[in-house]
Amino acid sequence: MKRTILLALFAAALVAVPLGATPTLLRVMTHSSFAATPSVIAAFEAANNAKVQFTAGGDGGETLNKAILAKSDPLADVLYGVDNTFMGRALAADILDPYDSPLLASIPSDLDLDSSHRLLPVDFGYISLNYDKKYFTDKGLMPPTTLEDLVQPRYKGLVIVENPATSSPGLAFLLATVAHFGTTGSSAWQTYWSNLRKNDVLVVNGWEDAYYNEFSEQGKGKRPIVVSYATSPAYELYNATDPKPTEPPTGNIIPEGSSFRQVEFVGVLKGTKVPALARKFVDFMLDTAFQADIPLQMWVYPTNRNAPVPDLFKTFAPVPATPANIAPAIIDAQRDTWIKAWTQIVLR
Amino acid sequence: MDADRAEVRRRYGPPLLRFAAGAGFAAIPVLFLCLFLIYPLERILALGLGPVFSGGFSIIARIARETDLTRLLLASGAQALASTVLSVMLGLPIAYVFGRYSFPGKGILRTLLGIPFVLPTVVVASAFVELIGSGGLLEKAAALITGNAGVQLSLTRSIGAVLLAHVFYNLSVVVRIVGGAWSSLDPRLEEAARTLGVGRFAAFRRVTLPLLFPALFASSLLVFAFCFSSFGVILVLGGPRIGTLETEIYRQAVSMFDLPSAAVLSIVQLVVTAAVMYGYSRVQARMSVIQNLKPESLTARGPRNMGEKITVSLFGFLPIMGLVVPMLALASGSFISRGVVSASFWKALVSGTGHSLFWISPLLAAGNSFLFALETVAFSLVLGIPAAYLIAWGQGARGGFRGVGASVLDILFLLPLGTSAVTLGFGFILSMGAPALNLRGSAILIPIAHSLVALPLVIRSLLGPLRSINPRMRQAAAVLGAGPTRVRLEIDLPVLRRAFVAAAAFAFTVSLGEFGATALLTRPELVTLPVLIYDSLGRPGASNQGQALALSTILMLACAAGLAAIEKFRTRGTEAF
Repeated sequence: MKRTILLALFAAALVAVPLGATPTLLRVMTHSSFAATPSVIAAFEAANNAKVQFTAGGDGGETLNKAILAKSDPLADVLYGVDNTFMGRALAADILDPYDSPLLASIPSDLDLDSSHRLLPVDFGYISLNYDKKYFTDKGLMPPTTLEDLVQPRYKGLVIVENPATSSPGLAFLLATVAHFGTTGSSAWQTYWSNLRKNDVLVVNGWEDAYYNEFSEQGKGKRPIVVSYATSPAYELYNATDPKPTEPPTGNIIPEGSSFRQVEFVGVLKGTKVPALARKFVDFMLDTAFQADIPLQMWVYPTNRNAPVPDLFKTFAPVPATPANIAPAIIDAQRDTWIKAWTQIVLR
Repeated sequence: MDADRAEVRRRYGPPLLRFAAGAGFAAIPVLFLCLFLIYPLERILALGLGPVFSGGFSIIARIARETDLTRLLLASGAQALASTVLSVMLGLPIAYVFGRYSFPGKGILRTLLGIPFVLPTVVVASAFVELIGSGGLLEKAAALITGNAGVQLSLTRSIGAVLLAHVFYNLSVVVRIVGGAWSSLDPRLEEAARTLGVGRFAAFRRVTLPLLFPALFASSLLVFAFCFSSFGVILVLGGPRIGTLETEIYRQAVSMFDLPSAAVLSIVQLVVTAAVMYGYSRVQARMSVIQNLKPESLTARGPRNMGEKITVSLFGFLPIMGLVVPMLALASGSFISRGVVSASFWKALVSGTGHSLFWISPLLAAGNSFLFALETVAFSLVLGIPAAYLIAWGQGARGGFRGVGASVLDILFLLPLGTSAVTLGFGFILSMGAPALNLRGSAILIPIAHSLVALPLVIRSLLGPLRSINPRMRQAAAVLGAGPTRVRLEIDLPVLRRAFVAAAAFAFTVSLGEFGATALLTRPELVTLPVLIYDSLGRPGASNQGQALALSTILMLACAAGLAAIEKFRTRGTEAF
C-alpha cells in the first residue's frame, strides 16, 4: 500500500515536470556502501528536472583514486564518500571546487573539517568494539570497558580486529589506539599492539569476515569481541524478528576518548558541466530530507543538527562525549608509516 | 611448379591480395589487444613511472626494499606453483576418465566442473568458511570424532585454504584442455605399443603422456598465470599474513595511492608472467606433434569391466563430488537463517525491499549477465580464432621473422592473465575517457573487458588442436578440389569442434563470473549478478549476506544452463571425419 502511494506520488511528480523538457543528467560517484531511499532521490530529480545517475567506485579509497585519475575528464559531477582518513589526499589532488553551501550553517563546526569547503560533511559514525552479551553472561565474565582491558589475560584470545591496510574500520581502530596511547614513550601504541598480539588477537582482512565468520554472536565464530561500528547493536535489534527482543544481542564498548570518529564528505568535482545542479545536489545531501534518511539507510549519523535521529540510535548507539580525534593532516602524513609499523608489529 | 603457382593464383587470387587479406584477418585481434590492453597499461604505467624516470633508478631499489619484493616474488611463485601442481595432479585422472570413457552423466559432470569458475571469490570464501572455517563442518566432524565439543579447527586464513580454493577454481581448466586432447588421441597408438609387449603403465608413459604434454603444459601455464596474479582468494582466504605481488599492488595502488610502487610491481608481475610464457612457448613448439585427431565417438567408450567402472567412479565422480560440496554448502546456506531452515532470504530477494539504489531485480541482472556472456563468446571467438590461426601458422615456420613474430603474439595474447587487475582498471579510467576512445560508460566496454580475460583461454584451447591437424588432410582435400573455405569447413571444423566448444565454455564462464571490470564500468541498468552479489555482501546484516548466497545460487544455475546449452554443440552435426 505504502509503495503504491509512493509510486503514485512519484508519477504525479513526473507529470508535474513541464512536458518536453528533458531532464539534465547529474552523475554522482559514491563508494559502494552508499544507500538512500529511492523516493528521496526521486524528489530531488522532480524538483530540479534532473536524472541522477549513481556510480559505485568501490571502497572509499578506491573511489577517490578513480576520481583523481579521471581528473582531466571527470567520471562524475559530484563525489561522495571521501572520509577524514582520506580527505588529505583528496584536497592535495585538487579535484574539487569549493562551495560555501548555506546549509553549512546547520552543521556543527567541529564536523566542518575542511575550511576551504571543497569537502562538506554529510554524515559521521564511530568505530567501537562490539561484544556478544550472551557469551559474557554465560561465562560470568564482565565485558571490557577500556582499550587497556583488552590486553588483560582474562580476555586472551577473545578479540577480532581488521587489518588497517585493507579495511577502513581496521584503520580507524588503529588511529584510535594511536590517539589514545600516543606515539612516544613506553606506553605508546606500538607497545599496546605488541601486547595485544601476545594476548592472541585475531587479525582478518575485512569487516565482513570478522563480523560474520569470527564473531561468536553471529553463530559461526568463537570470539565475543570485534572491532565494528557503534551502530551495529542498533542494527541487530532493528533487523531482529520473531520474537523481537527489546535489547540488542550485542553491546558497545566505547571508552571515552578512544573511539575514532569517521566523517564522510561530499564535494563538487572540478570540470563538471553542470556546476549549478551539482551544488544543488550538495545542498540536497545536507538538507533535512536526505539527512533524515541517512541513519536507517547507511547506519551513520546525519551532520545537520535539524535532521531527526531515530530513538533507536539515541538509546543503543549514543554519540561518545569525547571521541578520539586526530587532525586529518596528521593522518594523511602518517597513515602509511603507521600501517607499515603496525604490519611489522602485529603480522610479521 | 609453375603450373602449381598458376593454380594457387587462380584459386586464391594474386599474392598481394592474399597478403592483404591475411594481414587484415590478423590485424583485428592485434588491434584489439593494442587498444584495450597495451594502450591503457601504457597510460597508467607511464603515469606511475614518471617519478622513477625523473628521480633516477635508485627509486626502484627503494621500492624493492620497502615492499620486500624478493619475499613477494617467492610467495607469489611458490603458491602459484603449488596450486598448479595440485590442480594438474588432481585434474589428470579426471581428464583421463573424461577423455577415454563415455558414461551416463558425463555431460552433467562436465557442466558441474565448469561452475566454480563463475563464483565470486568472496562467495567461495564463505563456502569454504562453512566447511573448514571456525564453526564449520570440519570442526563439527572433529568434535564428533574426538568427543570434545570445544575443539577448535579452522583452516581458513592459511596457505592450505588458498591452495584448496585455487584447485577448486582451476580444475576445470586442466580437465577441459587435457581431457579434450586425450579424447582426440588415437587409442590405437597406445594399443599398438601394448601389442608390441609394452606394459600398460610404460605405454602410457612413453606413448600417451608425450602426446599429452602440449595440453598439459598449456593448462599448467594458464593455471599458473591465474594463481600468480590471484587476488580475492589470497585476500579473503589467505588472511592478512599471506601477501603476494597482486595484493601488494592493490595495497600500493588503492590504500597508499603510491602509483610508482604499484607500477614497478605491476611490471615485475608482467615480466615474470611473460618469462614463464616464453619458456613454455619454446618447450611446446618442440613438443607439438602432428596427429590424426579422432572424434570422441571413436576414442571414448563405456567402462567394460568392474576395474574400469571403479576407475571411472573413483576419478570421474569422486573429485567432482568434492567440487560440488562447497557449491551445495552455498546453496543450502541461502535457505538457513540463524540455524533454522527458512526461505526468508529468497523472499527478501524477490520483494526487493531494503535495497540500495544500485539494486535491480535479480532476474534483470541475470538477463544482463547472460547477454554480456553471449557477447563475450562472440567477441572472443571472432578475435581468438584468427589469433590462434595466426600463431599456429607463424610457429609452423620454426624461427625466422614469422616464427619470432608468432611467439611474440603468443605471449602477448597471454598477458591479460599476468596483468594486475587494479592496474588495468586504473588504466582504463585514464585511457577510455579521451575523445579518441570515448567508451567510458559505454555498455560495449563490459564484454570487451570480459573478452580480454577470456582470450588467453580461448586461444589456448584452440591452439593445441590446430597445431595437431595433419596438413596432409588439408592438402588431400585441396587436391580433391576443395576451395580454402571448404577445406576449413570440412577438415578444420570437425577437428576443432570440441576445441570451439571448450573455448566458448571458457568465454561464457569468464564473463558470467567477472566482477572487477563490470563494477568499474557498470551503470544501474547494466548491473550483473556478480555485481549484485558484491553489493549485497557490502551491506550489513545477515539478510544481505543470505541474499548474496541466494544470488550465488542463481548464478550457479545460470552458469549450468549456459554450459549445458554450449555442450549441445559438442555432439551436434557430424562427428565423423
